[in-house]
Amino acid sequence: MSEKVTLGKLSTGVPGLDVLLGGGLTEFSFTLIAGAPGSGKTTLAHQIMFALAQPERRALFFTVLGEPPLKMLRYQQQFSFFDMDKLGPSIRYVNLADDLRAGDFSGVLERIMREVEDFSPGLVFVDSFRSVAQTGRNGNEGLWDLQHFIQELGSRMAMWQASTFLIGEYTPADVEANPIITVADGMIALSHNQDGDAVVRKLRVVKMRGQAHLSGSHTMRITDDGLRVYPRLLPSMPDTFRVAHRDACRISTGVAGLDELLHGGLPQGHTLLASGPTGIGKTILGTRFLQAGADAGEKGVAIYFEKHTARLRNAELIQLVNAGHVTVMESRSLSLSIEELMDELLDTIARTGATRVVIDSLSEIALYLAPEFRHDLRLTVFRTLALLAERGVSVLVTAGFEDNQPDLRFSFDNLCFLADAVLTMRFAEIEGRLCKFMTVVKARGIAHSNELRSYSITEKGIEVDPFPAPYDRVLSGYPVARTQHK
Amino acid sequence: MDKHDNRARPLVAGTPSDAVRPGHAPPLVHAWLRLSGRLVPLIGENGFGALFGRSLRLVAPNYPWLSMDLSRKTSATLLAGLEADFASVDDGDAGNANEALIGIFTRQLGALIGPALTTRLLAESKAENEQQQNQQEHKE
Repeated sequence: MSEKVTLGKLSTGVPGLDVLLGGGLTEFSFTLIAGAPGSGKTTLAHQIMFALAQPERRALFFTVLGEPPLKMLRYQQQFSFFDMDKLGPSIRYVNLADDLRAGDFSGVLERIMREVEDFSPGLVFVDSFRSVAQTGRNGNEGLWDLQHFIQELGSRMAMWQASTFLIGEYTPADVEANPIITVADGMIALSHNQDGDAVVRKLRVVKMRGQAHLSGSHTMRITDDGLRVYPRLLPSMPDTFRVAHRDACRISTGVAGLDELLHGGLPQGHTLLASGPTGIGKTILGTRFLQAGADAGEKGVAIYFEKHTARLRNAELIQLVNAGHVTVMESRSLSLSIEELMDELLDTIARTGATRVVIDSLSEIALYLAPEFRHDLRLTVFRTLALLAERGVSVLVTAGFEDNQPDLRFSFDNLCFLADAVLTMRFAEIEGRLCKFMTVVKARGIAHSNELRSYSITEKGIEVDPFPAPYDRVLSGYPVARTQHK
Repeated sequence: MDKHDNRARPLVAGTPSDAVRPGHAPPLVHAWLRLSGRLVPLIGENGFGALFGRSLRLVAPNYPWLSMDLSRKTSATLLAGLEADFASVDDGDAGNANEALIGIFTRQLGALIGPALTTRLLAESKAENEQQQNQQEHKE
């Protein structure tokens, strides 16, 4: 049996943060929460405090010269985690502003100790610690005072078995923070990165003694529920993926001819990428996919990145929405993070019980994304599809690109590699008409037709010819009628 | 400077002597002391002083004998001034002014931190008051 000390882990109550910390926050640790004004430090501290505080593990929150306490209480109670019942028995606020005026660290330390002895907290917060540090003397004496103060505070709090958080307007590169970073067991840095006109919030665990934490910057959001961190990890693979399904359940795509090309429909839970130029029928295919789901009693979610009028003129879709079969998601933000998009999508899937999702289209999604996510659209799509696969929903994604025949490509940005099945839809000129053709390029795990079929868009939807197109070089855009002997 | 500030009477020694402390003033101010004891740790002396000063200013037109002295910065000096003011009038006037002051102070606080948190803080303060009164009655 190991005689090494076991570090207790505290769950922070901040979704995603425990994963970054390597399982949670180490008990009795001394952590610096650092970041620029407005980066969410006080909110993070409050969220952790309200998650952990209870009569057996009380929390003392020292306010200093930062945000006035009245305003802090005014704004923090807007978050859902702010539990008023915890104020008093489990949480006490103490204002240190008057003690700091003397500019003497030892006086502040004594005041903190008096309050700690009186309340016996398991959690101690000092916000903002930079205010404390700046009231010290200038020069080396001040630096020594500060380091001594921090060491004293750290060791006394550890003796009291209190997990302590210092909140300060520091960045990891801030020289002034060095003494604190040196002494602290952990450091969580918050930032808001501006790229173009968009701002994306980030959280980074700079250090966390005694446990392996996840390095790097991770996107975070602040919502009515507080902070949420999105570790840069793919979702875990569901158990169903570990079992070989030789006869995967098939679902109808809503287009009989396409189901035939897929030899019985799309395997349930797969992603079909339908690509092709404008006007080729991708949106109609999406609507038919949802309609087929509704006919089978399935709920659907549609995410549209096309302009609103395109959707409003889609009578079939409006009927599906009005009947409650389909929920439409559309963003008005032009600085979306992939995390916001996934949050809303997963919430909608969970709320509606949807088993089908249509994303229309990947070519316009970039218009809505913040630059960081736009620049790496492939990663954005990869993460989205991985998450949907984990949920087991069947997905139809469309991707439009300009026809540049005879260039034989099936998507842009190599997106076709991310889908389980790829349907390419192309125009070709035949006898003075612009005709439409489709073929299944790939379909993982199932046999499928390799025929090029001509199809039409009629009032019935997409009608696919039952036989292969009697032309050669269709994909070149300039087909040639196939002669009989061929 | 507010015109009513001219009426402010400076406190000679922070707290009036027992000789000029009619019996009705201390109990009224005790409630405020309890409240400040609850609020000052939470919102600081500055926060309490700002709220109290604003409330006093709003009530003062109806009670011109309430003094406003800008040199009073701490809750202790503010409440000592209030006690002196209450002592300078009869208990009916003092009670009415106190009620109006508490009403306005509560509304001000409620507007900032919400009625739920305000009610909670006031209830805790009131409970402490009642507990102390009971203890005193028990001793008597």
